[in-house]
Amino acid sequence: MKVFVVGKGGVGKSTVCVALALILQSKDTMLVSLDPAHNISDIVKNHEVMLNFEIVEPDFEKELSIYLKKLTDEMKRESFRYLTVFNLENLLDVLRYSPGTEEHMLLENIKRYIDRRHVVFDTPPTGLFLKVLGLLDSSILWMEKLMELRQDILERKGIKEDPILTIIEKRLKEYVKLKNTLQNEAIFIGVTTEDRLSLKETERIFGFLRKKGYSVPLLVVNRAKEKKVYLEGIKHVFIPEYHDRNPFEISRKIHSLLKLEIQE
Amino acid sequence: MLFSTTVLIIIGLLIYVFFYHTYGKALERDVVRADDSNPTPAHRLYDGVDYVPAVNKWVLFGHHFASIAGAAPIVGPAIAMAWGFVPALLWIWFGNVFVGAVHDYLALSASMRHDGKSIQWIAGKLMSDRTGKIFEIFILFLLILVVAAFSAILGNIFHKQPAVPSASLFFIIDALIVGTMIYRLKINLSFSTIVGLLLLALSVFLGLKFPINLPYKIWLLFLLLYIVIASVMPVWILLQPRDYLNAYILWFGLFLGGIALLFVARKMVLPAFTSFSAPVINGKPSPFWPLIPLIIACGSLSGFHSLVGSGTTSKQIDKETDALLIGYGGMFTEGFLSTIVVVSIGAFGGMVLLNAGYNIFRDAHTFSLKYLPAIKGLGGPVGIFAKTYAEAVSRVFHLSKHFIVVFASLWVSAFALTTLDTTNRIARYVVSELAEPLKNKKHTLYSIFSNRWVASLIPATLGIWLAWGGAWQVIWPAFGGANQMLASIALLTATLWVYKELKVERKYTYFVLIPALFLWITVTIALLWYLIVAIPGFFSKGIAQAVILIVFVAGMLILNFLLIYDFKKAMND
Amino acid sequence: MTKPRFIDILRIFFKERAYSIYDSETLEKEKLFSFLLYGWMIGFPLPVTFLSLDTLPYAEKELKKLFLIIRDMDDVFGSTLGKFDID
Repeated sequence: MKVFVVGKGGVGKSTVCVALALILQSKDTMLVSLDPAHNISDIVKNHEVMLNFEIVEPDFEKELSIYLKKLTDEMKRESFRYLTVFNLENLLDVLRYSPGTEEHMLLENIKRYIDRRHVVFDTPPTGLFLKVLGLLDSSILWMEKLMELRQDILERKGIKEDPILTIIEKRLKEYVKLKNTLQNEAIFIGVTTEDRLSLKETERIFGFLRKKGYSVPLLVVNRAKEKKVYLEGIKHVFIPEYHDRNPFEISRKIHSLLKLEIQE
Repeated sequence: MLFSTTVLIIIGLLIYVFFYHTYGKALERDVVRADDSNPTPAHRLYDGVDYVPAVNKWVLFGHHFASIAGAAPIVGPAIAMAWGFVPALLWIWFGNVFVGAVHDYLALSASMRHDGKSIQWIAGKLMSDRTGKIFEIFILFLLILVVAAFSAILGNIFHKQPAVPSASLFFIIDALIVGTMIYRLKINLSFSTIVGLLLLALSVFLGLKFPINLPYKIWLLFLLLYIVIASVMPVWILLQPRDYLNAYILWFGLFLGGIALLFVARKMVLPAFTSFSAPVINGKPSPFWPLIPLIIACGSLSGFHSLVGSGTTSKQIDKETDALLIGYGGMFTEGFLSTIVVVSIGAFGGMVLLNAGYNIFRDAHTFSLKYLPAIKGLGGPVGIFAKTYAEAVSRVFHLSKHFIVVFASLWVSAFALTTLDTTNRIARYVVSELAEPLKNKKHTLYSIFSNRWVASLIPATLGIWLAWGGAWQVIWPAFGGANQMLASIALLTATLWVYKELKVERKYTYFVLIPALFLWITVTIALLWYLIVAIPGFFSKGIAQAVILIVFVAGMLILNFLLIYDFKKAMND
Repeated sequence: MTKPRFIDILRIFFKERAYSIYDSETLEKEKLFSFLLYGWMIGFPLPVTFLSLDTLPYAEKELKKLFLIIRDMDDVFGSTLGKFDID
């Protein structure tokens, strides 16, 4: 099972994530934090002995540096003459801040871990996460167009082998596969509290996800004072205030509902 | 036998050879001071793409010539015959030697010394920024008038010679097939070419077999449709393959005509000289000077050549001394094409017109009055050229006369159709480029003008509309005028270049200054004449059209004065 | 170097003639491709994408095309018009 937990910051997303990981726990279960402000470790540090799943909290900064370094090395290997003219070393520093880099690193991490049998993703703040999903779609479209253009050029020039086309094709394939996996195998679970802002945001995320064709079966209402259904057609789980920080209690609550969902 | 085809062709060739080696060489030596130790842009800025030295100067010569030659050097001289063939020939030869070829050669050389930048760019740098803009406006006028003039000419020949439109249609299909073979299926070029040329012959044959009879205005509507559709298609579908096959037609036609007229040895039968003021433009008595450059533009002098020369050719010149052959010699070859037109009409026009029932040869005066109305019945300038050309060629090569008539008409139509296609492609760009200043002030207006379809339909519909009345005798000179104005900018720019950057001895500056001023004065007076005398007579044919022409010509005149003002200022600086 | 024969000159001429406009169009497409991927390198406000970076090591030729865009920028009009014949 591949689960994404979405919701406004501070509503208890990470705790719900741990709860889900507890339900799914096995040798092949992983909990991945996509939120740059990692806090999974804080939540589990008292219960560590009892956990039977892997926690990954990627260091995006470091990853980016590794990625850029690999790139520079590759360029040197390919004896890129223009590098020197361009002073690309300096340029690479700028890349780190270029728009889209953060989203891209997130997408890369989703891609890296999505093929686990069980994986739970703790998502970054809503705006950023929606951008990441949007990036996936637009990247696919963009790459398709670029590929067309490239193929036309190569065909005109009678060139058969082209490293650039190979890269575009490979990337496109990966992204299409990722998109398919997200649409067909992953589920998105929402977490919200009863306050207006949080509900509003949940509504927005669910609307977006449904429009994109993702499956959104479950909403966890945290610190619930009443059992009120906020979104039509979605199962609700109500977690009373006194349980909101206890992943074991939450997992118990969700367990039966989720089982149903898996069977479906 | 002074005036026989053989003699005139030989005289023409001798003049070209003689002046190439004297006047041309003098330009090269004293004005441009070509020196092979200066590396050309092709070497200095070599990029393997645009800047590549040509494998051989004759190859580049061929490309340059194929680009500058089109339908216009055939049409203009055919009209100018109304003044008599001697004035026409004199303007072709001497206009060519002292103005046209100088213009082409200097534009090419100036570009060669400015990193292959276009003459428009150089004009902006040497004269004023405004000059670059004026250049663009002239081009827009020119593009619209090209559509008008060529559509009128095409409509006329299509209407009167029903085999020609169907041959053109089959030739389009031929081009489509060849294009698919070469660029999509990647079939061997030689094989595709052989297929293309066989299909070309078949097109002429099928044209004769299945003529299409439609009235003039219907053809104009078809042309409008064609312009709009053709110009949005990828170039490999029609534009490129037809342009490629056109090159064969051009060289083959030139070769065939040259040989035929050299060996046919016929006397010239049309009047050598009719009247200084033959009624050429719109039936008004039209003084040979200053109006001749409006009629024979390409073939003697054409402003477009500065663009071809400076846009692409200059980036491929291997050695500085190659430029004379390509620029100066290329223009002579086009002049030779016009010579063939004049000589073939002059020698066989009598027979062709008589056979068609036009007995207009009582005296030179009658001829000058009735020549243009008569050729209208034969399909206009293209019709008379094709028929006389066929007489000459069929005599020497024993080919079917009907076949050659259609071949020659197809030759001109194919070039004209290609021009209509490219014109619209360029016009789209020019319109949106000129609309640029509106971008911030009047955004809606700007987005309308920069819309692909609007930008494309403006010149196309305006052009076709101007042609609607069928008066190519009126529109042709306006096209010629715009073209000559463009040449005038290029020559003035060249003068500035010679004077300020090359700093040649003062007496050598006159090589360029005199033709530049001569041209400017001539065309300015000619346009004034056209505005005052010719256009008012056009009101009866169509008020709106006449108004558009007035706007164009008046606009050109105003820009013209701005231009000479800027030129003078730049000279004095 | 031996003088090329007449027939060779003809062959080269017609071969080049067959591809002149087509090749210019291809070049424009290549420029466009380079621009879309690496336009940020020559000062266009396009985001740097992972694809730009991934392909960069193999993009020497593409970057050359990028320079052509800069080079021709001040004279687009002339070099465009020169490629077609009008009269």
